[in-house]
Amino acid sequence: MSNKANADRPTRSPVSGFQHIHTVAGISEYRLRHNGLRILIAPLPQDGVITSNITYHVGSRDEARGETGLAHMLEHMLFKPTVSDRKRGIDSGAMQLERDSGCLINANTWRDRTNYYFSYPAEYFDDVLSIEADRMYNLTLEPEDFLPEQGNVLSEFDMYFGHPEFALSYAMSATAFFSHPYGHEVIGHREDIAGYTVEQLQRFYQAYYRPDNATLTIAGDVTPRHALRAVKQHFGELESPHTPIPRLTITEPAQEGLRHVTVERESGTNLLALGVRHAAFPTPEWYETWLSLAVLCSGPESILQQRLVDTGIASRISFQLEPSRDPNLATVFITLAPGHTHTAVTDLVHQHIAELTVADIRPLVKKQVAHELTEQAFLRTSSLDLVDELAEFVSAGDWPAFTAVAETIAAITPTQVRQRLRTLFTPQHMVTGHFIGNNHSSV
Amino acid sequence: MSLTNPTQLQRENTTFTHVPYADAEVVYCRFSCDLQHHNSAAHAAATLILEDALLSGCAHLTREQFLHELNKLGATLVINVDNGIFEMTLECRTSVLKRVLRLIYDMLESPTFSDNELDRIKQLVRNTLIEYREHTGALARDGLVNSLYKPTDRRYHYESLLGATEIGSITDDTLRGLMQTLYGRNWTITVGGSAQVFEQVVHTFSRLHRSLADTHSAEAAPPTTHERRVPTKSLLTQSVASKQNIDFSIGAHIPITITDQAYLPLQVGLAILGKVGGFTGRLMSVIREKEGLTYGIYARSETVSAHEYGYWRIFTFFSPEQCATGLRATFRELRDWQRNGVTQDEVTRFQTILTTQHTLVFASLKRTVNAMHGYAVQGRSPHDFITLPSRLAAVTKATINESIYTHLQPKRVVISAAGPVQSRQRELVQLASELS
Repeated sequence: MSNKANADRPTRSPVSGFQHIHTVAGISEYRLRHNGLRILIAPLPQDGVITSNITYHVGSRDEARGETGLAHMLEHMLFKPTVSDRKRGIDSGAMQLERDSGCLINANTWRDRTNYYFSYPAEYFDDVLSIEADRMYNLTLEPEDFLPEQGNVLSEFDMYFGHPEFALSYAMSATAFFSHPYGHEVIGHREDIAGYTVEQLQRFYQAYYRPDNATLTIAGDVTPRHALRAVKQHFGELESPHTPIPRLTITEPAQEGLRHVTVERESGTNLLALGVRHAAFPTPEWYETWLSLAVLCSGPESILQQRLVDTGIASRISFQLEPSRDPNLATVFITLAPGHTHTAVTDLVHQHIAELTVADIRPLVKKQVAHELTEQAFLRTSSLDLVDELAEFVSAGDWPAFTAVAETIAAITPTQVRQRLRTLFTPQHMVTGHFIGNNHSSV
Repeated sequence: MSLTNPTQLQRENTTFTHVPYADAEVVYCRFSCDLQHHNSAAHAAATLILEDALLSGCAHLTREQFLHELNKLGATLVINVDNGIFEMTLECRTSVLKRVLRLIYDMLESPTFSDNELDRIKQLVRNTLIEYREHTGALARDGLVNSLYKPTDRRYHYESLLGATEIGSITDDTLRGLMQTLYGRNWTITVGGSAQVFEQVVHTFSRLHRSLADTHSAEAAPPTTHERRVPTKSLLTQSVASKQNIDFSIGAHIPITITDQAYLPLQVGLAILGKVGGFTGRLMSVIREKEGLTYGIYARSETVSAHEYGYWRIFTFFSPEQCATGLRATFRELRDWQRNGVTQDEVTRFQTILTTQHTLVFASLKRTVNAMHGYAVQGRSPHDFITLPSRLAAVTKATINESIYTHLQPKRVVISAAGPVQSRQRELVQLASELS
């Protein structure tokens, strides 16, 4: 799966103190020997703009019961003042750079990682690295910063929870996973968010925010020499603790038979969700799942679009498949048209999958591959988009696979797709969800 | 891949803008045409149906054949009509552009609009409008806009009002009437890609125009239908019980066009109040960051054009329990901004912020094309966009505050709310009376 076979052999780093791991398709990986920080550098002709992203290898998978959503809460807190910010009278932390200069800044948390990214004119490169190095260790985490931000995260939770798809996913994850932390949403349970303490956040921060648990990706108008010099200047003195990084090693018990969950609300929407278990990212099996679900749901020629939406049985079809390190649950969402039931449509979907032939699938596979080639080409026109995509491979521990996506997908055959669909949609691999709206309307 | 100097050329009814990327593997192209007549429920239904109908068969191709040809090339073609403006967006690889342009030519010149496909689309539109009625962000916005404009104005939103009758009344003749308008009005096309790509696009659309000119005469320019009205209520509510938060759109008219001297200072002033995206605006800094009342709160102007006035709005959401506190905080910031204006420190910072973000646009092919296209639609040149930083540098605190004071001191700001409002109705009525 990885493109390591096409990697350039390690050479000397242009700056001392770094080990050059390899270069694949123009992207070079280094390791800062002193503290284990990983650096990826992807020079792009970007006319004076750089995008950088630091990935901390911590996400919702590292959260125990009762403190779900902590990784995400901490992500919000990483924008609060550090010790040196307070000394300089800066009360808006990392956001001050955006407020002073207009540099684009944001972050996001997912199952296995937390990303912090900036996109900015190259003149701010040192400022950005200084901020990242500072907030890796020096947050103060004061109650007066925490309390309003806790309110914002509760507001964010409510925003998501109002959507039928999120509400149903929330219930389906909990049903799919008895033990694994993928069983709770990344934002966590509202009750846990409301009960956080600063001490919990401090403990989590100290455990996971360290150079040997981070990968810094730099793309755009930059050379490896320039980038590594700056990284050494800002991160070179940081120490990684000698203690191991805490990891929950959990084996999810096998599923025996179909699982199901229902959510009922006063709503005009009726939603059917079909959850299917899939392999870890970025294995060939994950890509088979992606291609299979795309053939099933993606675009006006897809199987279910033609057979459910075009026939008036459903109003919308989509799917969600996450790039997770461990096996996870992908979901097909089907918004039902009035007069159609969850059970009947579920049976229809199974029937359509069972009847699919290789001849049905072949042209759709070719088209998805063609679309993927176009998408890969567009990625190279924006450092921000490229870094965003590459970060998922960094999180999965196999970034070179990013350079081989097109070949990986092109190698999948229609027969494999048909077989994968039949395997995915079997009871012992499925969780079904019904969102029942009790306020039926029609047009 | 690197950007060189953009250029613009005029051919008959079409303004072509080229955003050159010498060695780009991809093409990103935007097409706009103002379709607006006097708005109505039937017109709104027709434009909703047109979006899918155009992609549903043309010339000798059925819908299946058309989609097959497009998708096997890995190309994406999206059509939508918003505020009366027809928009088409194309993304594809350079190597397949010629074949894609052939499809687009046939699609625009000879759309089929078969009865079977129209029946399919009408059913789909009816079904998707059911979901729309729970989209509280859109409903709050629609409520505000519909209070500011008459039903014949392009901005009047009919989505939540359309029923089976209006949708069912649309025929292929209705759609062909819209296409007649499209053929006769001015087109604006912006192309991101190589010089050869630009030539191919110019050639295709010029040929199309010549072909259509034989059978269609030029249409009158779109009516300037910003038929505003004075809102009669300061509070509008729509109940959607299934949501956790109440969405708000709070705003009023802006009585200037983009050609007015006050336009740019007003944009800077609105950015200082609530710049969309990021955390720099006052509303985000105070109401989110310091007071923890909402995940997002922003302000901006909308639908202001070279010939028509638009409106401004603040958009946000609060939990039902926090909506009174949130609204009071919002109006506190709004009144402070309206009465006392902006500070010199804010002006200096935002000149830098907006200039930096202008620079960042050029780091993305799509964002560059989108920005240039937005300017071209307003009759402005690529040079106008490129030189924006120098015009920003000339904006002063005095001109910003003058523009806020003169143009954004409405006697009544409208609050439009959508979500679980029923338990808060009395409180909202009281608040609206206190705050407006």
